[in-house]
Amino acid sequence: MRRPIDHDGLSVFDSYRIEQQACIESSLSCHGVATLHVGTLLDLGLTVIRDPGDFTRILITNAPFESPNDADQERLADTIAEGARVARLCRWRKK
Amino acid sequence: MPVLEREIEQRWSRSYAKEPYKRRLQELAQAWSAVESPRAAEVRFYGQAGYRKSAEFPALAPSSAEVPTKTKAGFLFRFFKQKISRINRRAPKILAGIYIPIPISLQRLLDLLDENGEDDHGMIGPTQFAFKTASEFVLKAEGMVGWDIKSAPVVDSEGGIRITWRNGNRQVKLICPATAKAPIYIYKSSPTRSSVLNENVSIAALAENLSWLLHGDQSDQPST
Repeated sequence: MRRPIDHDGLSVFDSYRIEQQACIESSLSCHGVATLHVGTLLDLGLTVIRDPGDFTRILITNAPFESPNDADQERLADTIAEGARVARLCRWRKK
Repeated sequence: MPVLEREIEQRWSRSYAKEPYKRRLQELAQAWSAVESPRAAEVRFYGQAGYRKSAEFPALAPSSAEVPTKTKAGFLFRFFKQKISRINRRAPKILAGIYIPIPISLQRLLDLLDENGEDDHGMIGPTQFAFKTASEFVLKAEGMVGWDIKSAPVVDSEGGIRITWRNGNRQVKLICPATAKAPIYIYKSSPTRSSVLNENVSIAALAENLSWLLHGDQSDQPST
C-alpha cells in the first residue's frame, strides 16, 4: 500500500532488473513477493514511470493511498490487489 | 430429583435428623455449660463488689435450655457454606479447565500484537488507540449481529488497523487510524456499488453493515 509519505508514488521493483531473492533480501522483513502487470495497471488508468532515483524501481504515481477515505480510491486499491499474483511466499527478517 | 436436592435429603436424613445425634448434641451442650465461663470466674474471683452486678454478665456458654435446635434451614445454611468454600478452594483448578472460546476476529486482532517495531514500510504493530478502537468495534458489532464473522485485520504503515470482512463478492472494511486525529470510516462494496461512511461512524453502523454483508439487501439487485 502507498504510505502517506510516498509523495512521488507507490514504489515497486522492476522484475526485469532484479531477482526475487534480491528483492526479499533488500528489505528488513518480507512475507512474500507479488507481481503486478504493467499493462493491467495502465488499463486501470494508472501512470507507471521509471524511478529517477533508483534504476531497479518503478513508480506508480497515482496509486491510491492506504487509507484514502474515498470509495473510488478504495475500489481502485482493491482492483490493484486483486490483479496481483503471488510469486513467492517466504519469511524473511534481516539479522 | 436434581442431584443437589437428593444430596441434601440424604445428608439431612443420614446425620442431623436422627435422634441419637440430637441426644449427643444435648449432652455436649450440658457438658459445656458445666464448664465455668471466664466471665463467671472473674466474678467469683473479684466478688460481687466489682463494677457490675453479676446479673449484668450473661453466661457465655449456652445452658441446656439453649441447645441450638437443628432446623433444616440451619442445616441448609451450613451445607451451602461447605459447598461454597469447597468450590472456592477448587476454583483455580476449575477455571483452568474451563474453555472460553475467543471469537476469530478478536483472536486475529490479538495476533497483531505479536510483533512490534518498524520495518521498511513503517510500523509493524498497531498503536494502542487503533487496537482499542478496533477491538471495541469488532467485539460489540459482531455481538450485535450475533455472528462470529471471519475478518482479516492488517496494520498500516502508521500503526492503524484495517479490518476486512468478506462474503462472496461483498466486503466491508473498518479503517481505524493510528491516532484520534484521523477519522474512522467504514467502506463497503458489492459488484454494483461501493460507498464510504465517514460521518457518525458507530458500532451500530458497523453492525448494520455486517448484517448487510451476511444477508444483503434489495438494493443490490440490478435495476431493470
